[in-house]
Amino acid sequence: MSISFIESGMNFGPYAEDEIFPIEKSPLYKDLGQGLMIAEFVLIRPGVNGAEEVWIIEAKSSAPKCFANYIEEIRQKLTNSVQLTLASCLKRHQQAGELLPARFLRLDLGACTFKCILIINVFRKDWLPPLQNALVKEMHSLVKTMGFRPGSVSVINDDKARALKLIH
Amino acid sequence: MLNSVELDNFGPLRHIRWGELSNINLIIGANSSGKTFLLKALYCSMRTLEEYQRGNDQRSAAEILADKLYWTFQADKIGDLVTKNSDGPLTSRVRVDSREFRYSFGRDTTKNIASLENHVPPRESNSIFLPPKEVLSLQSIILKSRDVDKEFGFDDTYYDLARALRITPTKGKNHAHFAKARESLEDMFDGKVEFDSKTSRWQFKKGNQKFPIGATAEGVKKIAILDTLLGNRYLSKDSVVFIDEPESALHPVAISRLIEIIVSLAASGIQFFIASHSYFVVKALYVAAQKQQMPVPVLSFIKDHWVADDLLSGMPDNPIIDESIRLYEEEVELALG
Repeated sequence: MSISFIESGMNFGPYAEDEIFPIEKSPLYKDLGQGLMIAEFVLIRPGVNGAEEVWIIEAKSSAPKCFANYIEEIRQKLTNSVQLTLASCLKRHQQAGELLPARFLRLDLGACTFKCILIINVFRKDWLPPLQNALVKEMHSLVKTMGFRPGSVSVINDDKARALKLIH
Repeated sequence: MLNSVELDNFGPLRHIRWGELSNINLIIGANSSGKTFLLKALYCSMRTLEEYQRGNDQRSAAEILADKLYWTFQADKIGDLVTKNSDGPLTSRVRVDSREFRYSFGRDTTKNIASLENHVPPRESNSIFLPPKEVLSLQSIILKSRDVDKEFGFDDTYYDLARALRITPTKGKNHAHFAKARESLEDMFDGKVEFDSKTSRWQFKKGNQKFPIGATAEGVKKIAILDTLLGNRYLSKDSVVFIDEPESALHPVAISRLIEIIVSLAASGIQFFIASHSYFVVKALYVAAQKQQMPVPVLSFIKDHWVADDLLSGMPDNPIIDESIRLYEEEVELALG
């Protein structure tokens, strides 16, 4: 069975049921209470040499109005999502074993690559580089402390998301 | 001010039409597209208009222009400036202070410009060309090579600048915009460059410490040149300043501050023509155009053509921004595949 859905005006999917963790809609997130911002979903993607990659996806339908607030909001969502995903995979939350797709529970957390991706719908390509630079800078401490690789934070528009088959 | 430019068969510049010029004007293009050539062509026209009938100078405008073209482009004969394989002559037509100044000559011209029409009244201003490299540490060498040896090497943009920097700073109240700009320029490097008449050398003063000019950073010397020209009153509000690659030797933060100072000087009347390769210069000028709602005409060399646009109406297609996007795409490609 595959999963497709519409988010921020984009048609995401189809994804295999065991490769997507809809973190925003999951009780694992909802039970944490209000005040915690989170990304849309987490995806397992094939990486190089057969290794698995974990992609944290945040989707937006609009350009930033207040640049600093926008970047800070995205940083919080992506950071919280990385931490909640890792904590769930490690079964630090009671229901994680039941709520997380089996492939997530089998992830080699020490070896798999994490990538944080912001997708903005209908966004001009020439506005993407400075936004990516700003988000990379804000995510620096997470990337460093988690031992993520350089290039683990990306900002793309719907054209690139389509080319990557994240949306259709 | 320079209101419009039309050039035909001027070296690499086959056909340029650039109108509705403003106080800040930008030229962007790849290496060898002719940006510096264009700045120099405009500089020659401006200096001719400024030197004509100044003091007791009896030279005709055509004589001044021929001299200026010869020493600025340093070709064996000025006819060599005519575009190779072109059918027509080299033609330059500019409007300055809403009046026309035009000239034309063919490839056989040695030094006599037969066709010249000038409707621009004499100007008291001094325009200047700021080349990518600083000249303070080379000033005496430049002056000797030109005044004594009369040799090619340092063209008139360097020679005129070296001479302009020789003028002693004037005491007394400067134009308010200029005084503020000088404060900002000196603040950029927390010090100032001064000419020491005892040793006949430039030096950098920071607090109580003095450093020889040779040991001073390139960026400081570049900024000091503009500071000196404002301090010795060589520049006035009717001057035109041609800056070739303002970004050279400057940190991006210093570039942004220099652009801010240029914007404030432009508000006082000085006109700027800036040729640049820099993403930061283009972006800073774009932001200034939007913030001040000020036209910044831009001439870009795209696919063998010069295209005129305005930063006020948006960021035009240009190779500098394109390259930043290409690098971004390469980065995303590497990260996400």
